[in-house]
Amino acid sequence: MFEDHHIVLWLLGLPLLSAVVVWCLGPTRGPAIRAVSFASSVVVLLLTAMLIVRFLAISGERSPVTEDTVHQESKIHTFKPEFVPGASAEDRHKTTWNILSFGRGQIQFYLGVDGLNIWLIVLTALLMLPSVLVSFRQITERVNEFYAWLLALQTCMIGVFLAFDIVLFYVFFEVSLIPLFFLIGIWGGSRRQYAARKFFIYTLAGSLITLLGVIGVVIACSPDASSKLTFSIPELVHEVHKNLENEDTRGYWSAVQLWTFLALSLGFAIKVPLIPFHTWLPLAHVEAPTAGSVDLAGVLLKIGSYGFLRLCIPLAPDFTLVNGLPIITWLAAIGVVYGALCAFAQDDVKRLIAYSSVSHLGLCMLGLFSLNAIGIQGGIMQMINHGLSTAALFLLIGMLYERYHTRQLKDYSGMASKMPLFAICLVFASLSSVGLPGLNGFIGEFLCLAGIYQYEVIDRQQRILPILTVLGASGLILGAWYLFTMLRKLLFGELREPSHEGEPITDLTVREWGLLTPIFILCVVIGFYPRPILHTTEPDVERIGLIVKQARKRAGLSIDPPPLVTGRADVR
Amino acid sequence: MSPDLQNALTDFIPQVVPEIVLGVSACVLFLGATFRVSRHVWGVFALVALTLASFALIATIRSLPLFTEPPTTFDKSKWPLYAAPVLFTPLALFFKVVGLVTGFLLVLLSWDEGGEDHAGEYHGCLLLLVAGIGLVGAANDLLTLFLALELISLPTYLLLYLPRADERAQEAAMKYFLLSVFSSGLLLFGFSYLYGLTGTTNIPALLDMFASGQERLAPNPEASTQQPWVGVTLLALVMIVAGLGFRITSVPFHFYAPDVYQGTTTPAAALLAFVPKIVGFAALLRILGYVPGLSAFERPLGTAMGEQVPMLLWIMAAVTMTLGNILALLQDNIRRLIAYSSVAHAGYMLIGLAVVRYLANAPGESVGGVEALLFYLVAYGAMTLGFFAVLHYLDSPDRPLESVDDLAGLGKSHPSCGLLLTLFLLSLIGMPLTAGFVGKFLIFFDAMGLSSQNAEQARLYRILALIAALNAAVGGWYYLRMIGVMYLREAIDPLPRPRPAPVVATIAVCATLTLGLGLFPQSLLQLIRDALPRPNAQLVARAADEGQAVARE
Amino acid sequence: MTITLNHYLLLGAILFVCGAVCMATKRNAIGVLMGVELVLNAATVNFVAFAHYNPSFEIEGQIFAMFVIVMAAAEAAIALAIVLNFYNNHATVDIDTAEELKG
Repeated sequence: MFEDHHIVLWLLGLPLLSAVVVWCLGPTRGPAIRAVSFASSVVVLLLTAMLIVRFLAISGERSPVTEDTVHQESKIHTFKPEFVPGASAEDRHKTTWNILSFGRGQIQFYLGVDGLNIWLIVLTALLMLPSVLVSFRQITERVNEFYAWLLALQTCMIGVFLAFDIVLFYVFFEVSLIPLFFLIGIWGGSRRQYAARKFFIYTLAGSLITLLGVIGVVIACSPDASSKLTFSIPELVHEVHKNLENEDTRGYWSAVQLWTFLALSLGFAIKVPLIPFHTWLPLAHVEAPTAGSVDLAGVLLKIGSYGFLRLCIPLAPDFTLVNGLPIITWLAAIGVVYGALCAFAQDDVKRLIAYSSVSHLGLCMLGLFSLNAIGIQGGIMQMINHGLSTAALFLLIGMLYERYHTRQLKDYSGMASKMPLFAICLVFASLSSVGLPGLNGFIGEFLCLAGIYQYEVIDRQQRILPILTVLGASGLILGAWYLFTMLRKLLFGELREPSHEGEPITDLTVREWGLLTPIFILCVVIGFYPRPILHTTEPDVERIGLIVKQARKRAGLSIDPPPLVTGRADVR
Repeated sequence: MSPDLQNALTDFIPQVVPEIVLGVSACVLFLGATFRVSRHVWGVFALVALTLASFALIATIRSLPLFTEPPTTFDKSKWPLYAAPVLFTPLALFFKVVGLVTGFLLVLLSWDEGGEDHAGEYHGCLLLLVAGIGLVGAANDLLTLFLALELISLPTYLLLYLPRADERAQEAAMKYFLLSVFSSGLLLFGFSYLYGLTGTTNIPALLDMFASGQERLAPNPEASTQQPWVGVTLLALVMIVAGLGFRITSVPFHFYAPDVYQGTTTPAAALLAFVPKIVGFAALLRILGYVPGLSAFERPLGTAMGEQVPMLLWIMAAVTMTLGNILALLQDNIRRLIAYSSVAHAGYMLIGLAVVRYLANAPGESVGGVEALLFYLVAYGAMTLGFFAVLHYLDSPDRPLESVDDLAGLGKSHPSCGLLLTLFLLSLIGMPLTAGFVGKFLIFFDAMGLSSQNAEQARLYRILALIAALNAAVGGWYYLRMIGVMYLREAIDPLPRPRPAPVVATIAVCATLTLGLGLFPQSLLQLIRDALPRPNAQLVARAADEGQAVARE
Repeated sequence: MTITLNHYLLLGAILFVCGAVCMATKRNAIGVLMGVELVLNAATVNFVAFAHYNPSFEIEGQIFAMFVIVMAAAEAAIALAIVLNFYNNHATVDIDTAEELKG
């Protein structure tokens, strides 16, 4: 019926098309607008399901480690996107669709799917559904604009993940600011204007520096006028590694990597956000409408960590290994603890969850930058899990706010007796966020910690005080502390409701149930059976692992970390 | 003088037929306006004149060969390049087309502007201006270049002064006039030294002499040292760059812009934001020898005027964009704000000019710098004219649109106007999918693209790119403020609903260009590339063989 | 003493500086206008002097000078129109009275 790459194109085209349709419907036709948006997000979700099925079918053959492992060490590794639209006849991993020709190279419309991005696309599609549904009653003004921006945001987010051309990636990366700016600015809380502008300018400033980094890499890969210019991420990674493996060019490239890494990581660090670039986040979250918060926390923040994974690490492996790793892991570890402590101090529930995002994404970055297969797998898992559980929390708080118009913890008490269903859902989402074994959060957090433990204790032989691991783990404990404190204050104790007018307060409606269910189901499924995700991401994580391995070799570090047993022997 | 050269002096007439058509039409307008007072009659007449000029241009393209390569028998002294006052080069064609399109947009934009009794004169001035743009692009001689620049300046004074007679408009006209004339004086003084150093006013010949180090002052050609004249060259260059810097509103010649933009009418402000910039950059490209292919086939590009010029441009670019952006942050009046933003954009464009010297000689490569500059110019024209057109559309005498706060609630009360204004503002910020982004991308790409062999310069220009990136972020703040006001605030005193007017056509064209160039930049880029002939390797070799045979005996 | 090119160049430079100073300091619009004319004429003097003193130069200098003179006349006409209008509104030609536009 459908060719594989048609799915990829429709994933991008359908939300955009629906956005235009919704906009054209005008602000008065509320039901039609909601129907179109809902239908579009359902279809996109079905498309991603199809994509997953087809991707699982081929993921067995995608491993970079082939039988002749002898030559593995010297081979140059790079990404191999699948389902590329406009793929050339001889190589299905490359595209022929050009956007802008530079004479000796061209910017291409290069989309594709691989293990690193496929689950993030699923996450985007999945979170769109509750975003649309939860806004049915919350948004009553300028309905058409709201859904148009929301669908445009979805297009941009899917675009970022799909893009395999570095300029295309950047274009989607930056355009995603515009819809969110309007979502926060028009339908946000009382300080929405300030929040929207701060969010926009902060991210714009970072991403402009990233643009310089992007251009810098491209130009460094074609040093003189006769060489080919490429904007494709896989080819850039390939070029960088070829140059790094070559003794003559290595010196120059060591210098280039410093600037590449700094420029690229600034934009991504703001997006993630890493301490100290996080100040826009709580503000933006608090002021955003629920759907905006869900997409911001669930997907947009992942663009930052995905950027690190896709661009920073492979394009500057040596610098990442030697200098980037300590810098980022320390920032991330501090972020874990700082975010958790800040979250504990909040009275506004939304702000609390916003700070918990800082903490959780710190853990994710800790996993990614431990630069070993376990850690990177954990980082990806953590991205997905954080997307699910935080989105659920934001949705629930949004529902509560819809009823009482306040988010202050001090206004509530004992809500469990008033709204039992709500209480169950909130407890479930919190448990998932805390990382209860058997739910999704546990997998990601465990893998991240295992990754950073492997880096510290086994690679660095830091047995006395593996401080990063300790900080990361303490984030989990603190996480349980502030989330349970929130639950205690909000749900238990004597019933105390904020004053409210109008309709009587009801428990969760069927619509609200319905929109939470898919998230919860996925939470349980991932918690018990994470294998499909780990299985599909594995080949591409391995590629990054091999890239890092070569960097280790160049840096003079041991390629294979000593096994744990030998380590123990040393201690004795 | 050889007969070929004499022919060259007369042969140029067919090349300027479009400009002649425009000039004659302008005369008809000036005369006719004394007999009949009607806005619509003269507006339509101006459109007809522009259409005729376009047809004339098409006919010229059909009948005359574009001047791209020297004839097969390569004798430099017979080549019209070294005699003709104007040349019909691909680049000239590019500027002529840009000029005509701008002309159409401006006529439609200012259809309702000013008193009915001045409509004829107003449109006449616009036509002269368009002719001027074409002539600047084609000028091959300092004299033609100077006259063409004045052909733009003189009507501009009138356009500032005709439509409104209140004190602010007069003050604006007076300020602009005095400073503009002074800048012309500076330019002329610089030209006089260039003439004295080389003995010719022909631009290619002049550049050749600089390139081969033959410039010296007349009375003592046997003077043992040329040292003193290096200083004179530099002085002349500084004066020329200053004189043209006024037109492109680069710091420190920018200070008139906010006052004049604020004082004058919206269409005139739109004109001032764009037209002087095109001609200023066109003239700079010609005089600094940064246009490859024609005069530059036997030497590295842009070397004629020495090493100091790129440095001067570097400093100007950095200071211009930084100051422009910072001052724009402080403004409340929309037109003052856009004036400073236009200063800032001049700074980005200057980057394109500053890197030419280091990029242009890559064989087979796109013409670095110039290409980005021209793309940026067109993109800037589309978004600024569009922005001013929307402002003009919303503006009415009883409810003037002055401060940023007047835009409040526009997104709700005038959804389509708000959306278009947002498009232009996002393009001015440089967001992707708009023309502004492609322009900035190309500029950044060129500034980062210096080859690593030139390590010191490469570092310098990367710093410039960094400054530009930070500036773009600062710029984001004040453009976003306007978007914020439009969408995130409620109107206290909403603007009235405007009636349909010809200006809508201007808005539509500008919006299409802004979005179209953002989505499909390839078409314009290809056009610009074709307008910039590459240095021909064969010719370079040939010219080297023939030695330093210079045009003048 | 024979008069050489350098003397004329010096004259041109002095005229230019006088013109610039005049523009910067005069408050009377007509005075500023005179400064402008001085600047333009400074360039004219240079052109003619260069063309006259160098035997190998042809007549471009003189031609340029002619054009500049005509141009200056056109500019003066417009300038006087603007000044006249200014006078009608302000009843003075003191340009310091123009201070509506600031910021």
